[in-house]
Parts: sequence; structure tokens; C-alpha cells
Amino acid sequence: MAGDESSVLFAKVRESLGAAYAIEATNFSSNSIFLINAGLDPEKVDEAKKIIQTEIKNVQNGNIDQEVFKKAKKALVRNELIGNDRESFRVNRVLHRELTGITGDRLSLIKRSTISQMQDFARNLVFKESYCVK
Amino acid sequence: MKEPKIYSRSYKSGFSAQIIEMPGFNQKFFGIVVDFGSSDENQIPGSAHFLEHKLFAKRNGDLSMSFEELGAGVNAFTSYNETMFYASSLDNSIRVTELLFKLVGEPYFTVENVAQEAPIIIQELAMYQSEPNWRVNNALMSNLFGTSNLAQDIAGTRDSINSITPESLMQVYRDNYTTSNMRFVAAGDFSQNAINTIFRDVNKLQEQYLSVAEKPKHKSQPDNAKFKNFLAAADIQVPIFGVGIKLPDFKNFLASNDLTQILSEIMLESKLGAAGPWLEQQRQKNILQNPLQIVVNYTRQGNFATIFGTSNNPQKAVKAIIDELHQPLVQKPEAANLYQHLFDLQKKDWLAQSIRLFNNVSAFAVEYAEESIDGENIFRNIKDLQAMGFDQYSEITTEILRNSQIVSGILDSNK
Repeated sequence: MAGDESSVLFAKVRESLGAAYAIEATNFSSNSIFLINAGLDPEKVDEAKKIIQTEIKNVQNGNIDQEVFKKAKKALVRNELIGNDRESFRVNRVLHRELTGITGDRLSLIKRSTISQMQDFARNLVFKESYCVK
Repeated sequence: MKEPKIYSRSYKSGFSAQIIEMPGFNQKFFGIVVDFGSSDENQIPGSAHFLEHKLFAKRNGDLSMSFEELGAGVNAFTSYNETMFYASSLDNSIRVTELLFKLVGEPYFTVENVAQEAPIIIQELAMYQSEPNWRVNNALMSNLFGTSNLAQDIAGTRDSINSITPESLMQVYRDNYTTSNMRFVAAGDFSQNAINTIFRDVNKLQEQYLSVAEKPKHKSQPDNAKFKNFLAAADIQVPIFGVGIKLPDFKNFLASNDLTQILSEIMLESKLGAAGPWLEQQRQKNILQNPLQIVVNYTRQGNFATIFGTSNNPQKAVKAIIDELHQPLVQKPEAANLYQHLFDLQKKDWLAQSIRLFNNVSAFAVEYAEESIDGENIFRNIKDLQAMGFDQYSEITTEILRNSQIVSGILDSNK
């Protein structure tokens, strides 16, 4: 949705609409929150919200660009391995494993992930609320 | 301290390249640094940053996509005197290096793509301007550096961004993106064979993509600084204040700008930081509750420090800071012992921070690139700081403060 430059929201909200400098999507797994946030041009908030909602629907309906999905996987593999170069990243991973009891090789999970798994994840998202700080 | 092994090449064109060998790391880092940034003269304010954004645009689209196809991440930043483009990957060293040279060496500016970028950069600027600190910082910089580009935000102003054209960008590009004004840095776990191949490739690429020219000569820009204090009210809960200090030329004190910057930060931290007694005294007087943010910068256009904080008594806080800055570092023998102790502590902290950089491929490579293009030597500075005695530090920092000018800024609450 919103990672590197080829991500859907970066392309549509930043490059096409010119509404934002940065747009991010984060999955807070411990709190079951999927958050999309951006610093937006106040005049383009409604248009940007429409794009975000449409793109979530697209993922739920399986309208997913395979190339973007492949690139996103590559980026996650890169981030995981580069993250492993850093002590703080590794300590964080160990703590998370200890606290949650969730084990497993994250790298192979990323490599094995499929478009249909992502679609299932998106279908389980319940749109809860949106905020605009002006 | 075990220094990483660094291989260097200088090419006839004036271009140079360094590869830092960092065995055992997954990350491979590639960067090109340009000795040109937002506060350099002869540009519409914000042009260096606009150029950084717009170089990603190529005839066939955004070049970031090509990096992504290789599994590489790419980014760039603009600072006062530098612009840096960099990529990180796990492999594909040669192809990533080729893309990096294409990124900086193939400008494609059109009326359409420049017009498309302006609102994105204005939005970036708006994001910074939403921070209440921005207003105070902007006022301090204007009062310290008047009308020069150093006084402006790195992104420029809304008006200056809108006045940038493909032609003005091209002129700034031609003046500054030249062989003598740029260098390549790579860092990571490279084999000897890979290092040789990268150097060979860099040689071909710099010939293919970059114009040969001497380093641009920088002229000082008259700034007409007024050194006024700033006071305004805003709809904020807790007042914000800042103190700006225009510092003298660091080369008057030591050969290294970087080392003098570190000594200045140590002095300000010792006087005003959380480790010293002053902050605790201000807490007891209910003037300050939280530690201050202290930063020292050096640029070709001038050196400065900024000190930011929040307080319900911002006038008293500013006065207390300025009074403390005017106090000699060593007044009584017992104070000398205290400041000697704080100097030793801060020195250890700096040395640890610098050496820890060697554990981070991209952070070390960026630091190394920035310092080497400024003619600094990070390893020599670490050794010089280790060897620096309290008397020399005290003498230098006292002289620095004696030759400084101070302004303040307060953003008070409407309530």
C-alpha cells in the first residue's frame, strides 16, 4: 500500500494527486490496528481519503498488481536482512518473540507469502475510524 | 579502535571514490555526495532540495522503480552544504552503482514535471512548518543570518519553490554537479574482486555521466543580519523558546571544523545539559522542567548553535540560558573539577557514539561521505578528541563564546 515508490498509495496520493509528501501504512499487530497516515494538503483530504478507501477495497477484491506485490516482498526481505545488521533490531525481535511466544522464521514467512493471503488479511480489516488534525 | 579498511581512487577528472570494507554485514551501501546544499549561494532558495527531488524523474518515469526491481532501496537528502543520493541493497552492486550514476547524471527537467513536483515539496515544507519549533527556528535563523540562503528553510519558501523553473534547475545542476564537486562512497562486505570491479565501473560511469569542471568557488553572501529577538503568540499549550548563537569561524581555533563543533556541543551540554547542575537549579526554580535540545552546526556560510525548550516562564528561561552562557566555564576551583568531570563524561559519550557508527553500514557511510567531502577525517578527529585536555578545551570554548552573538525567540501561548 505505502512503502517504496512503486507502492499504490505513494503513486496515487503523492505522485498523481500531489496531495502529500509522505504516506505510510503500518500494521500494529499487538494492538490489531492497521494504520494509514499522511501529511496532506488540507484541500485534498477528501480526494486522498477516497483513494485510500478504494485501494483497500481493491486489495480485498483481489485487484492486486503482481509486480508491485513482488517488489514489496523484495523490499521486506531486504529490510529484514539489513535490519539484522543492527543490534537494536535483533534485540527487538528477540524481545517480541519472548513476550508474544510467536516464533518462526520471519524471512521465510515473507518469502512464502501469497497474494491470496494478503487478500484474506485485507478482507478481515474493519474500517473503524479516521482522524484529520488541522 | 579498529578502523575499517578504506580503499580510495582519484580519477583524472577530479572525481574520487572510496569503498569501505565492512565484513560480516548484509547491507551494501552506495552513495554519491555533492558538495552543494541549500545554503550555498547562486540559487533560488530551495533549488538544491528541488534538484534532489527532481533528479529521480527520467524520460521513462521515476528511476526509483528501477532500483526497486533490483531489490534496492533508494533515497536522498539535502543539508546546508551537501546533497546526497544513496541506495542500499543485498546484492547487484554493479547494477545499483550504474543506476546511482544515472540518477545524478541524467537530468530530465520539463515544465510539466517541475510543476508536478512543486505541490509535493510545498506539502513537505508545510509538514515541517506544522511543528511549533519551526516558527521559532525560522525567526532565529533570519535574525542570525538575515537574507542569506542559510536563513531559509532547506526546502525554500512557498514562493521560491513556485518560482523554480526547468531552466533555473538546469543552471544550478550544471554549476554544481561536476566531477570535482562530487564523490562516490560504497560500504559493505565486498570481496577484493568486487572492490576492483566497482572502481573500474565507477571510472567508466563518471566519464559517461558527469561533466568535468573545477570545484565551484564559493563567495560569502552578505546577510544584513539584524540580531533582533523574536516574540510572538500562538495557539499552543506550553510556550516554546529558542536561543540562537552565531559562532565564529571554527578554523580560527582548530584545523578541524568537526572537532570544534564537538567541543562547542560538549561545552553547551556541560553548561546547560541534563548532566550538569544548572538544569537542576532551573527545575527547582520552576523555570524549566525538561532538558533542552542543543545543536551546533557548521556551514560555509556561518556557524551557529540553537537551543530549544519549553517553559511556562519562557522569558525567565531565555534569560537564565543567556546568563549561563556569559559565565566563564571555570570560575572557582571546585567548578573546575565539576567541568573537568563533565568534559570527561561528554567526551566518552561522543567517542562511544562515533565508534558505534562503525556498527551501522549506512550511518557510517553517510557520515564518512559528508566528512570527507568537507576535508574532515573522522578517525583523526576521534584520536584528537581522545587526546584533548581540559585546559585546551576550556580555552577554545571560552574564546568561541566570547566571539559569538546571541538572539532569542519566544512563541508564547495566547492564553
